[in-house]
Amino acid sequence: MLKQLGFVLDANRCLGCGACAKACELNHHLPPSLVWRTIRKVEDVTPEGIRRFYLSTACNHCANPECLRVCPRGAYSKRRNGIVTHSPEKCTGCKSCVVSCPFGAPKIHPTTGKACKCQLCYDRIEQGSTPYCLTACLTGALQLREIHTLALDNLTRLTAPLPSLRLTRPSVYFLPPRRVKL
Amino acid sequence: MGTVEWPLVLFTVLGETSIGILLALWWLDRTPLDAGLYRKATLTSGALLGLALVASLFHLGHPEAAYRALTHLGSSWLSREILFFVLAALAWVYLFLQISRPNGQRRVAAGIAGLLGLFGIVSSAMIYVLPRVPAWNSAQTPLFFLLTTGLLGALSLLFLGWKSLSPAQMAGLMYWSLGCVLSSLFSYILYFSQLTGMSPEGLATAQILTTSPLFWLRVITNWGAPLILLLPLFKRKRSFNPNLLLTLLVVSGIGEFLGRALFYLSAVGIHISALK
Repeated sequence: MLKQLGFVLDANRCLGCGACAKACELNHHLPPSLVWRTIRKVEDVTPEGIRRFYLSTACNHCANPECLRVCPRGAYSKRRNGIVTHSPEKCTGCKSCVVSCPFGAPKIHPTTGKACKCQLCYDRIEQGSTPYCLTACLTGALQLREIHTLALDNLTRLTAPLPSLRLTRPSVYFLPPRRVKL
Repeated sequence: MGTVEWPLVLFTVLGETSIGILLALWWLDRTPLDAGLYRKATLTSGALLGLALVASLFHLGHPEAAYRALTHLGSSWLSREILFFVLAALAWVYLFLQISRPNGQRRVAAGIAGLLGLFGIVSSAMIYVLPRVPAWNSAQTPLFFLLTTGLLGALSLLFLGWKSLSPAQMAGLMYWSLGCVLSSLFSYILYFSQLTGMSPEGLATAQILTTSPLFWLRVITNWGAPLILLLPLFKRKRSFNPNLLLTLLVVSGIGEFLGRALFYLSAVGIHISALK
């Protein structure tokens, strides 16, 4: 079986500080209007209890990426380690990937007019280093793992309301936060 | 809420009109057509196809690299759309050569160009059949694109050939146009009822549509006015008024442009945020 690298975020440890998103923005020299990683605040109130937590999300490096399917230029490719990469030199800026990705990962770069997204710092990983977002994480909440070796029982994924969207099989997992009794 | 992609609105509506004219020509040419009308209709179709292809380039961030978009035919409907439209344009050149010859195979050439264009239109529509956008993810998307082709193609030929077409040919085009308007109206009602019962995103699309003045203008221009304008034509089949035909074409064209603009404007994509 081929490898599938993916992020695992422990939502109990994530402070929502945004250091991961800032590190990504600064090291990839992204313009102010463009982000590859975002922090979402989630509030989940049920009769059983309340959960308030942060989700640091970027490209899900899906096992079955929609961006790769729709791109007319074949600008997307899946590396042997499962990372979905985008080649700007092949991109024509048609926005097909932007419209089709259910996670809103690809964005149009305001300067180049081409699509761009989190590449999971594949060049750094190949040199034995870690992605910038992981290096910046204060609590170690964000980790990079080989998905096929994970015990997935306690982990969740961002999930779609439609079965056809679940087929993209995202490779990012979350350890859900504990519920606090009201 | 989406944005109005004017280059795509122009490309799809003009391209569909162009292919619709070619298909209507091919269909009517079972009984010999006037050579002047054939030439006029072919040139109109070519001009519209040329404009459509130029407009499509403005949608790209890098129009100069558009040729590269042909390289992912295996899975990308956008690649297939470009391939079929380029082939349709080449087939149109072949058609033009055929109508320039006294015994040219014009019906075969029109059929080939029309069929390739039809494949291009279906490919165009399939680009939008995306699981992420509930308002687009149905069989109605290709149906709407095909109905635009049928309606504007037939109305354009009706206007271009009002002098030289036989009453039977005119009646055929009128019945076809009426069929397209009615099919469009009933399929839209069905589409709308599906939207409201579909998902929060579908409901949001329905709300954007009903609160937009453009939608109500579309109701008038795309369905109301064509139905009213077609009635006198059915009553007075022998004396076709070119002004009435032109009005019908222009009003329907505006309706189709508005419909396509709303198609892009009202698209609400699913943003996955739930953990499970």
